[in-house]
Amino acid sequence: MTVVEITPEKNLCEHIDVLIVAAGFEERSRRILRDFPFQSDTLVLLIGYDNEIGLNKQIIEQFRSIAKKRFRLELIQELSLVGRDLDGFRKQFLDRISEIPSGARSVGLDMSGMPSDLMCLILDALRSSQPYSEIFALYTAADEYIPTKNEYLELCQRQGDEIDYVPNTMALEMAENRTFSPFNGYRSHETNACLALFAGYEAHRSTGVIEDINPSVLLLIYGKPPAANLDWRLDLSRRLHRKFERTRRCSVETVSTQDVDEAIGLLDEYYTYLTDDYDLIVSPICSKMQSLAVYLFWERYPEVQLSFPIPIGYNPERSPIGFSSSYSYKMPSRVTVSIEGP
Amino acid sequence: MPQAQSSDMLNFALEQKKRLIELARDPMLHEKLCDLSYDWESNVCNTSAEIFQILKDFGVTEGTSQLNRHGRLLLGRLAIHFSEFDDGTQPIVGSYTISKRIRSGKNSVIFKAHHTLLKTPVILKMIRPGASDDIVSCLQKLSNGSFNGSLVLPNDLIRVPTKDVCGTETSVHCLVFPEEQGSDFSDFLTEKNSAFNALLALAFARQVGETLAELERIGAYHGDLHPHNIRVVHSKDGAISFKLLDVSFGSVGSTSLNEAKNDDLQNYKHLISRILSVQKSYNSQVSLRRFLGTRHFRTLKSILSSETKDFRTALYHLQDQASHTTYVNAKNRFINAKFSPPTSFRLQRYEEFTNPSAASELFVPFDELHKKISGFGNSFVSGNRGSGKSTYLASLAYFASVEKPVCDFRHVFGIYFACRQGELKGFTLLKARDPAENNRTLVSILILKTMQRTLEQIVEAVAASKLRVTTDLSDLSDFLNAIIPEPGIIKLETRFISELDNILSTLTRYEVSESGRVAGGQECTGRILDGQDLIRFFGLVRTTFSELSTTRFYLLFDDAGVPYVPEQVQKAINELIITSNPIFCVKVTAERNTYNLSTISGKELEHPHDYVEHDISATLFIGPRSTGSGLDHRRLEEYFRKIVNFRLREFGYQGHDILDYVGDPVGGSQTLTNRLAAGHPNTSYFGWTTIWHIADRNPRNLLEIVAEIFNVAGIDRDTKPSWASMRDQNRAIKWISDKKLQALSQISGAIEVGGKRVSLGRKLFEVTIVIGATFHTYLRQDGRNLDSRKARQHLAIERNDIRGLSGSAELILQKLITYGVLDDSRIGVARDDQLSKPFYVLNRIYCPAFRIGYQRDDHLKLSVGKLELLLTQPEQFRKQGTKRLRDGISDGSAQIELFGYDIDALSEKQ
Repeated sequence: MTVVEITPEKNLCEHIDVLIVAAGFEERSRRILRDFPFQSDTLVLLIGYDNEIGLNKQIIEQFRSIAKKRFRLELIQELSLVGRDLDGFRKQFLDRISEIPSGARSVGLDMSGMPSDLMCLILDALRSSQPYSEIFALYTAADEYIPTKNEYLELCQRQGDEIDYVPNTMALEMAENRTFSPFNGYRSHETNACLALFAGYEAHRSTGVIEDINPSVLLLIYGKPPAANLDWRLDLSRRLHRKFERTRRCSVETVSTQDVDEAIGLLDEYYTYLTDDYDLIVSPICSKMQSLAVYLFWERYPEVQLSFPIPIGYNPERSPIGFSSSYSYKMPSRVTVSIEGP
Repeated sequence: MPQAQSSDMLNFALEQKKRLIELARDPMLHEKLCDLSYDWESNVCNTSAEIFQILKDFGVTEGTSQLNRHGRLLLGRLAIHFSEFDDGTQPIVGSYTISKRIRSGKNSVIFKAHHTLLKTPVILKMIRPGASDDIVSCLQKLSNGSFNGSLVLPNDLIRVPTKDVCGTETSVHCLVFPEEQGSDFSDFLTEKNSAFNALLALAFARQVGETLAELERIGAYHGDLHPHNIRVVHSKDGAISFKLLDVSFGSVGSTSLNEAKNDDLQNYKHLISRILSVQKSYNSQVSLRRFLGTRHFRTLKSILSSETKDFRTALYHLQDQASHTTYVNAKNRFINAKFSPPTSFRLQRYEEFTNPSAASELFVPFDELHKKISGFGNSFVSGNRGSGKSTYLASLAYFASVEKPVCDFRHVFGIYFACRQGELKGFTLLKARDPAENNRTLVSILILKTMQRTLEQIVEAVAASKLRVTTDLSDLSDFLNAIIPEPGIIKLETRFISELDNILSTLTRYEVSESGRVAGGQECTGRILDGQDLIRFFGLVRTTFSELSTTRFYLLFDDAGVPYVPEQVQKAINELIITSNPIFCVKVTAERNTYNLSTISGKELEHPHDYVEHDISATLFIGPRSTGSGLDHRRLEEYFRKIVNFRLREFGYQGHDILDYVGDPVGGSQTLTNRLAAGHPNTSYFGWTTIWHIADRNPRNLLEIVAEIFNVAGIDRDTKPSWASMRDQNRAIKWISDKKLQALSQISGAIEVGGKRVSLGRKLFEVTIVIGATFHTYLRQDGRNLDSRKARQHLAIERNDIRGLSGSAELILQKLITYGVLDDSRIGVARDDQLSKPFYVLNRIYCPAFRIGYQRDDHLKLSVGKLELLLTQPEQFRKQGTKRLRDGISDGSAQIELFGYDIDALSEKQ
C-alpha cells in the first residue's frame, strides 16, 4: 500500500460512495470536498465542531454551502463533535454508518481537518462496522505551515540548538493527556514503559505527554517532509525536542511524514524487540499520515496504548495556510492486519 | 509441471467428480449397479454394463473385466452402505454388538459398539473395499511406534461379512478401537466460554506434534486428522491431553504416502490456527504476539510457516532453545544500541526505576524516612516532584530480576503499580452504571490485577530459582478456579506446560479480558472480589511457597494522584487501605493535593488510624535547632553529598567526593545575597553549599545541577578531580534554574480564572515569575543602603490573615504546591496575628533564574486580597501589590530578562 498523489484531473475519488470530511478551519480541509469530482450519488458525512471557538459556526456553514452546491441535498448528512465528547460522537457516528446503504463499498475519509484522536476514533468505528469496505484515507497538505521558515530562522538565532518553545502555535497549551477506549491498551510490565513520540512542532504537548507518562525509555520519531525545501522543519522539530534527547534514555529516529508503511515498519521493529519487556505507548503529535500509521499499528497490536495530548484549544489565526498536494492511501483489509503478525 | 498440463489435469478431475455425482444421483443407480454384477471376491464384472464403461473412462479398471483398487473403492462407496448395521436390532459382528453408526467417510464407516460379553465400549471402523492395500502390515508398522498413549491404536482386526446393494456378499476389514472418554475436540473449541489461556495452543502443538512426528518417523501417517478424530481427555488429576483417534494409516484409498503426510501437516497447522483464533476472539484487546509472549509466538509462527514441511521440523521448532537465545541476544543488542544505557548520572533520573537492578543499587535512602516508609502499614507518601517518592516506593517492590534488592522478599513482598503510565487511568467509563456496583467492580479489578501481578512475579522468581513450590498447587488452583468463570483453569499435562505457568497464563487471560471489559464500560463476567478474597489469596501464596511463608505483601500504587488515577479508582484503593489485616498493606504516592483520601462509602481515612502520611519534602526541611522541629542542615548536607558521591563511585569517576569537583567556599550564602542585593554584575552561584541548597531537598534537582556542571566544565570519568570554574558552575546552575522555571509553562492542564479557561502551566509560570520578580525587587531595594548591614532575602509568602481564598486563587495556590513551586510544609506563627499558618516558601531551584539569594530571611506578608491578586492577576500584583514593588518598578529594578520572556508583556496578554 502506498500513498499516491491525487488531483482533480487524476482523481482516485470518483468511485467513492461515501465521503467523510471534517470542517477544520484550515483552508486545505475543504480542498477535496470543493475541488474533486465525485459520483452523483456519493453520500457526504460532514463533521462539524461545536466548541468554544466561535469561528467554527462560520466554518461549518462554509462547508455546508460547498456540499450543497456539489452533492445532492438528501445525500448530505451532518454530525457534530460537541466539545470533547468523543463517546457521544462515536455513538452518533456508528448510527449514521449503520444507515449507509449496503451497496456502498468505498469510503473516503478526508483527514485534513481532523485532530488525531478524532481520526483514530473514526477509523476504528468505520473499520469495525464496515470491515469489508474499501477505505481511502485522503489528505491535503498545506501550502505553508506554522511556524514559517522566517520564524524558524529567528528562533534559531535567538535560542540556538535547543529551542524551548514555539510561541503561538495553532494548538494552544496542553489540557490533558487523553486515552480512551478502545485505545487504552493493556499494561503488564510494571515499571517498564516505552513512549514512542511522533514529535512535531508543539514542544509543550510533547513535554506534557512525556511528563505525564514518565516512560522508562523514550523513542523520539521525527518527521521528514517529502520536499527537500522543507528540511528546515525536521531541523526545527529536533531543536524543539533536544532537551529530551539530553535528559532521557532516548532513541531517535526519522521517518517520512508521508510514508505510512515506513512509519509502521519502524514501530514494528521496535515492537519486535521491546514487547516482552516494555509496554508500548504511542503518541501521535505529527503529520496526518503518521497518525494513520499509528492507528494501523494499534490495530495490529491493540495492547499498545495510544495517548493523545489534547490542547486547551486552537488558535485559528495560526493555522496552516493554503493548500498544496492531495494524497490518497488505500487502507489494508482489517482482517489481514489483525491475523498476520510480523 | 507446465501450467497447461496442470490445468488439464484439474479439469479432468473436476469432470470426473461431476460425472460421479451425476451417477450417485441417478434414479436408476440401483439397477445399473446390479447390471454390473460385480463379484467382490473374484473381482470380475459385466463389462458391458454402463457403470463399467464409466469406471473405465475414469481409468480405474484393469485387465478386461476387473477393477483396480481405486475402482473397487469407487464402486464400494456407491454399492456398500453397511445399512444392515443400522436397522436398530443391535447386530453382532464377531465379539461385538453394534449400537449406532457414528459417521461415514470416503474410506471407512465408523460404528459405536461394545464387547458382547465384557460390555467394554469400542469403536468399529469398517474399511471399504479398496481403501486399504495391506492393512495388516500397516498395523504391524504402527506397533513399532512409541506413542505414550497419545495415539489410539486398534486392539483387534476382524473380517466383517456384509452385502452390497444388490445382495452380493463380501467381507471387509474392521478395526476395533477402544472407546476413549472425553470430549470431541471440535466441541472443545466451540464450547461456550471456551476461553483458553496462552499456553493451550502450545500444549496442543507439542503433544499432537510429537505423536505425528513419531508416525512420520516410522513411515506412517494419521490420514484423517480432523477435529472429530481428536479426543480431549481429562486425566485423574484433571489435566487435559489430546488423543488422536481413528488412525487411517494404510486405509486412505489411493492417496499416496506423501499426500497423506502432507494432509496431516496441513490439518495440524489448521488446528493450531483454530485454537489461536479462539484465543484471539476472547482477548481481542491484546495481539497474539503479546498474548503468547515472544518465545511461544515465534515457535508457533515457525511451525505454521510454509517452511515447515514435515513433523520433524515442527518438533525441532518446539524443542529449539537456540532460536530464542539468538532472539534474546539480538534484542539486547538492539535495545542497548538504540537506548544507550546511562553512563553517568546525567541520564539517570533519580526517581525512576528505569532498570530495577541499577536503580536498586543506586538507591540512597534517607534512613529515617526509609525505615518509616518500609514498615508494615498503610502509608501515603507525598513530596515535591523529584523528591524521590517513587524510588522509596519502588524499593519495596519485588522484582525477580534484581540481584541485590533493597528489601528481603521473605519479609516484604511488594507488588508495584506504576500508575503514571496509565494502567488504572482507563477505568473511567463506569459512571453510567449503578454507582455502588461500579465501586465494587473497581475494587474487584484492583484485586484481580494484584493477584495476577503477584503470581507473575512469583513465576519469574521460580524460573530464576529464587522461589520453590513446596506444596502442590491444588489449593491455589481451586481458589482461582472459584474466581475465574468456566472453563476456569484448564489443566494441561505438566510434561508439556508447567502447572504454575498454566495457572498464571489462565489468570492473565482472565485479567486481560476483565480489564478490557471494565475499561470499555461493560460488566465483569466473573465473581466480584473483595478484600477478604485478597487476604485468602495471599494466605495461599504463603503456604504454597515456603520462602514466602512469613512475608507480608505491600500493594504499592506509585503516582496515584489525579490525573493518573481517577478519583473513583483512588477511592477503590482506599477501600483496600481500610481492609485491616495482618497480611497486606497499601502504600500510595501522589503529589500534594491530587489524592482523595476518602473511601467509596464516603468515609474519610483517618490519620494515623487508617494510614500514616510521610511527606518527604517536610521530613527533609531544615529547621531551627532550638525547636527541634526541623532537620539539622549538616545531616541534609551529608545525605545529599552521599547521593552524589555514591554515583561518582558507581560510574567510575576519578574522584569520589563532589567537593573535589565543585569546592565549598566559606560564607558563600550571605556574600551571594549581598552581592545580588547590590546588583553586582559578576555575581556567581557556585560551590557545594550553594548547590545543595539550590536543589532544595530534591535529589533530582541536585543530580541535574551536578550533571550540568560536569557537562559545562567538561568533566568526565577520566578527568582528574579539580574545581570547576566559578563561571562554569554559575552557568550550569542558572541554566538548570531557567529550564525549571520555563518547564512550568509546559505543565499540562487547564483552569478557570475569571470565567475563562486558561492554560494551567502558563498561569503557574506567570505567577512564579511575579513572585520571583517581587523577591528580586525587595532584595534590590534592601541593597540600596547596605553599607555593613547584611541584606535580607524574602523567600516566602506569609498570610496576614486566615480568611479563605476564592475558588480559582485557592486552586492556583494548590497547584503551585502540587508542582513544588511553593512549599507549604512549614507552619509557623505569623507575626501579625500570632496564629499558626503555613508559610509558602519559594522553591530555591528558581533563585538563580530570579537572581536572588537562597536564604529565607524574610517573608512577604500578604492579605487575602493581595494574595488573590498575586495568584489570579500576577502582573497587576507586580504593578500595584505593595509600595515597595511600585517603588521598585519606578527605578527599573524589577525588570528581569528571562530567556526572552518580557515579563511586562504578561500584563498585555491579560
